[in-house]
Amino acid sequence: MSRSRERSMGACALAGLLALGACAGVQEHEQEAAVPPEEMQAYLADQPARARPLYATVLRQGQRNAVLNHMRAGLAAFELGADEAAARSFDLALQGIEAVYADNEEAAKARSKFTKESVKDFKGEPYERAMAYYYRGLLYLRAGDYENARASFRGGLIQDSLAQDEKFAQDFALLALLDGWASHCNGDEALAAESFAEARGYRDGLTSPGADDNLLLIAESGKAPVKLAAGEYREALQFRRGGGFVARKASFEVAGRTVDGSLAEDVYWQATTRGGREIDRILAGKAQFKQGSDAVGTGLVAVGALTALSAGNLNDNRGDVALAGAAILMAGLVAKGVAAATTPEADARYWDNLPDRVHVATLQLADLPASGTVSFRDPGLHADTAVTAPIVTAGRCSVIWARAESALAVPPLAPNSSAAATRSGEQQ
Amino acid sequence: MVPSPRLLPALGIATALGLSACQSVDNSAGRKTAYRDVGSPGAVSGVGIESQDIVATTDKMMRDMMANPTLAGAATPPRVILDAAYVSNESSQRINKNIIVDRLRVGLQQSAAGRMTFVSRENADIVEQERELKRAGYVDSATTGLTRAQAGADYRLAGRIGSLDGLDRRSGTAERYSQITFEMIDLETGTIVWSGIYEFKKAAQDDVVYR
Repeated sequence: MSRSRERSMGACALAGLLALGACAGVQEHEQEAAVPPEEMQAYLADQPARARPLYATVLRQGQRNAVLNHMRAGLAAFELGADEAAARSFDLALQGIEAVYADNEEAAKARSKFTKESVKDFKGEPYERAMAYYYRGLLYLRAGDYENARASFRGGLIQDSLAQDEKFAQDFALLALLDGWASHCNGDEALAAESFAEARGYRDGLTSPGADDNLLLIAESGKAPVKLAAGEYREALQFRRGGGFVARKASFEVAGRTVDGSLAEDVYWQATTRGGREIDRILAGKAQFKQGSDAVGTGLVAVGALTALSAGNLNDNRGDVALAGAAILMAGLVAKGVAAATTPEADARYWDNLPDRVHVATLQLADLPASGTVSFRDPGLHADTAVTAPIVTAGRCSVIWARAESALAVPPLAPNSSAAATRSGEQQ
Repeated sequence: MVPSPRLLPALGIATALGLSACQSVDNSAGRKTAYRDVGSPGAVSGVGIESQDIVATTDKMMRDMMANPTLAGAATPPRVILDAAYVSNESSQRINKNIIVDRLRVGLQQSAAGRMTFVSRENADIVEQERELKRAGYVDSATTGLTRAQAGADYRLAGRIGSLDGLDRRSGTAERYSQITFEMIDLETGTIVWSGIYEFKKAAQDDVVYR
């Protein structure tokens, strides 16, 4: 074999290898779109000013992250009291969650060996979906639409049923409690009693609201559960607690009356008790394929190189042996290229302005003031924090809602939601 | 290094093969607005009540009501109130009940052609304002004359929307049985002069990447 021919074959192998290797890095779906300024301006014009950085991401990241970005922006709008914008966002998020993805092209790509799981449209894990229903339900409560509030909380409970581990399927006490509260406010006491009993069954320490209670008090603390892509090939989805001010106690003071909140939900616990996902098996298979291809490639490269080198010691058939060695080497490089292009990486996009836990109480008050005080306590770790929150009344019932960690204190891009988000996460 | 011209196709194939392994990204410029039939399933669907269900339910209700002699065959057309005030949603689906009831009222009013008279109780306040202006002399009495009071009604619509949900954790199949019941209540005696039930069950399975 001539020297130029050997070089040419090497070039072929290298080209294929480089092209395959390109799959493993940043993939096209991870890029953000450039949005014309006038389009962006028009979109942001009717969004709450302080939440605009989050709304801008909705437009830049498009359909793939629409549910995720509307969850984040909607929650920020909710905290700002911009209930109309928040309702729009959560309606869009729930529309994406409820859509059935059958014969969906992007979902099929997520199963491919050479495409990252994150190519699929984000619908969130069951705890994230359930929390989207929770906030939509709270918005309905704040608007006095108790029937749709109840429907939202029930919708969230159905999402919680997706847990693979039957022991933990549908145990979202917070949603069951609020389902009952919505029925109570709607005057459906029989339905309310059923839901309160369900909530008490899910979590010890919860009590049913009094028959005349008309004020719901909610305190959210801590930061969202963090998703991590772990394992040799980042193929395993894991969670860790988000930290922040996680209240061990929360209490409320309204019109001179003080009441302690009961822990109604631990969001991190909900995130970690669903059991394995079906997609985890696909990712494990991808990781196994990547490992196998890499091992085969390494072996073939070594054999090919040795064969080609040994051709120098031969007098007869020297050219044929060298050619065979180059072919084996090339096959090895291709196998390594395939291994490099295989992407078992788990989708670690997550809703990062969720709380870690939620405390709830109810009260009966005839004359409600405009606001109340919510106190968060985490003795030994954080100084006590008190937040003044508005009391929103519509219909028979009122709501007071406060957070220890602001939903606005998150970067414009959700973690792992794009190449830029991953870079900025690595720098922090 | 310049590859041999004979190996250039091989070089191209190697590159193409490598790149074809990557995913292709949908860079389409979107799709123009297109009208869809309200009575057929849309491109985005789930297991809840959708437009085609509302169309089918209200069409069937209209036929049922028009076939009822008490409602559509009385010598004096009965006065009915058709709004969502007494229709309750106990299902797990968020819904604007007015979408169902408005379609029913409009369709029924067109079909009834005078065999029923429809009273708008949800707009009673704007009627009252105009009546006060007329009686105070700020405006004249218009063309149809004055009445002693707003119209009372003989019958009023009541109903309930319910659902039962099921989910197979292993297959990811979601199933929902939706039930819509409507009744026409006699506002003097409390008897039910007409009732109808509309039910359907839908099941769907999400892609494995979402399970």
